[in-house]
Amino acid sequence: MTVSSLRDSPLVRRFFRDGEFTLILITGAFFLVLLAGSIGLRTEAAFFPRIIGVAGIVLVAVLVIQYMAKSVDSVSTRPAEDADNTSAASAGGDAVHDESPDPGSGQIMPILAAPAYAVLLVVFGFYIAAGTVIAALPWLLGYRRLYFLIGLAIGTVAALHICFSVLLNIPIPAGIVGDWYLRNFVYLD
Amino acid sequence: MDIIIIGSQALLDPVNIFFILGGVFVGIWIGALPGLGPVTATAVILPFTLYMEPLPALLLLASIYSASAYAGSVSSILLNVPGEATSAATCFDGHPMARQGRAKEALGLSLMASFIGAIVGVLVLAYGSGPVLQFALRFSPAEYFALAILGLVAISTAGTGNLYKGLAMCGIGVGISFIGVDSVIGVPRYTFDLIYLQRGFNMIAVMIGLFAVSEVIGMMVQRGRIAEGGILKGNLWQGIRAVFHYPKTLLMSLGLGTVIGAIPGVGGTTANFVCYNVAQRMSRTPEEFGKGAPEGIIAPESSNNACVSASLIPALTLGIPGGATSAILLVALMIHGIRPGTMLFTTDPGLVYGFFVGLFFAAITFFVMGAAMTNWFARITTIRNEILAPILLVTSLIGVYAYQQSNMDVFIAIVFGVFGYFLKKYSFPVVGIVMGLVLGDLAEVSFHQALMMTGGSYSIFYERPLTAGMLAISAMLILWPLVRRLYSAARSPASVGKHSRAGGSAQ
Repeated sequence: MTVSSLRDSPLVRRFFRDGEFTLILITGAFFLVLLAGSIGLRTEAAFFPRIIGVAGIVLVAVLVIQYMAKSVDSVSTRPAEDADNTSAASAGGDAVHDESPDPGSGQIMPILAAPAYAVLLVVFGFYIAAGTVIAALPWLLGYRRLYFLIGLAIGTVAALHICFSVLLNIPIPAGIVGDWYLRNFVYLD
Repeated sequence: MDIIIIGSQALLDPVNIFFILGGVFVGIWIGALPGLGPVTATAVILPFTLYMEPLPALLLLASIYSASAYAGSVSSILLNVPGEATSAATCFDGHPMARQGRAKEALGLSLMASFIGAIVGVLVLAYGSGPVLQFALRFSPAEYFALAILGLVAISTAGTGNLYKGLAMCGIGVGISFIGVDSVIGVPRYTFDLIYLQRGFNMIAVMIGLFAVSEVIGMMVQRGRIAEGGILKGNLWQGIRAVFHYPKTLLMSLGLGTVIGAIPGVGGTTANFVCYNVAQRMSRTPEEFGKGAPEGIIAPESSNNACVSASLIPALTLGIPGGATSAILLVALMIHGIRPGTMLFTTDPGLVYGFFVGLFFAAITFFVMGAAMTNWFARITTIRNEILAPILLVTSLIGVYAYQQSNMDVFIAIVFGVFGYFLKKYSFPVVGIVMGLVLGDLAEVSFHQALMMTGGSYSIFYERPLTAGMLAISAMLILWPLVRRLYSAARSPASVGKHSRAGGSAQ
């Protein structure tokens, strides 16, 4: 068995292109960091992290075995199937795998929407960030009633302003641009 | 009878009625919004109560507490985002019911179960504080440790998912709780010299990220509407009547919720999962749990509302708060120069009994308001996800920011949100991470305190009956599915292949 044949085997491809296995690896890495970080701590502070770290690694090993058993079984019963094809998810049970050839299609924009909003929030503040997201995101997702979206954005931002700023007296982030504007044009000494 | 007469006389002032109505209205809206819970609402309103008389101040805060305990289930059911940690278990069956178009029925179940829980809780508070308190006082650090472990195991075994995934997620949550300054000896752990991590992760940010942000991403990926076909079926009264078809589940949840809720510091977070777990095991149709079983809503909702009043038992009688919100109520009492304790019942019966009757009235009020708002709440499930998701994203993250006015909390919520999306996609139960974060510190501190009590001997964990019992139940919950599987495999070898292809579910 050569390295390239091993790399191209359905089993290996499934392992490394399957999100569930990646998550199991991430979980294992977390518990390893927990164990490694307990080195150098005093006994009382290190005791629980070590217990949880060891227990976590045992659990990850069980999950890996379960996953391998499931994958070997599905590869052996469906040898002609592409490794990226999925099995249907039962309610609350088995993992969901992407059916499309490109697992990321349709998910990139939703996943990036929240970080993009956070960047807008920090730079421009709540009012501009929230208004932009509420108006633009549905448009990008295929909803084409622009005036409705603009009205919805204005109404939602106004309602949240009243709820948080006015009623609950909780400050709303003004953002870097907003802070600069307030310092230079509003709060003049 | 004295309680009712004295309490009603104290309550008859229109100002008290006004503040109960206002508190319930605020509590319902605050409780339904992810990120804002009764702790935030009562903490913000507390300064305003300085200028009020003691009874209306207490009634306002308690009404918010009681109504928000019910309203947390609204976002759990409609959006799969718990309004607060004590409503997390309601997501398991409430949201599947909403996806089937039965949102009104689910809200009706939640409303009636919460109402009964609140009424029973008030009755126990008024007439049964003594015995409940005696039981709660038996809890030493060893019992707290055992209860925290039981809570974590109960969360892992709740629903129909993979036990080992559940335990791993709880382990991650407990691991995250180690970040920051150690509660036992005060040394920093896993801070990597970052100032933000000295305080540990903000639990609200983690919870909103794992539940709300991940759900928003899922909604934008799936498109469509929450309710299948955008059609609502059933009605509120079907749900309200259905509660009475499960008397055993209701009684069990009320009892457990009251007892666990009276234990300071643990309360509703543990109670709703323990009750959900027990209800599933008691049910004649446990396979229906996780798919919209009515008992899956009745158990957590009746218990968490019973916990509201039960958590006030140690607060009013001993001055020990049952949770964060009851701690704020205690602060309100002390601000007005009133000392909690058994003398409170004899020196100021008008205040105490008026408070009890007021809680009773608040329960009736949130039932009526909740019923009136149900149709409007349920319509949320017919809104297109492309419109609902951005609104939910913005609302949730401003709630995260509101807690400490920190942009870092917003980023943490988003990181956990993306992580949570992938976890949900591959059937890892994200609720375990939140509960691990909540119960991890309690478990560690209690464990070390218990060892200090015995000079380092572990015998305290098996010599005390309550502790040993709870740890034994936890072990049984973990080992029973494995034992059952091995037994089934041993009895019918031909079925081994079928079980190994079933995806490793440990239920």
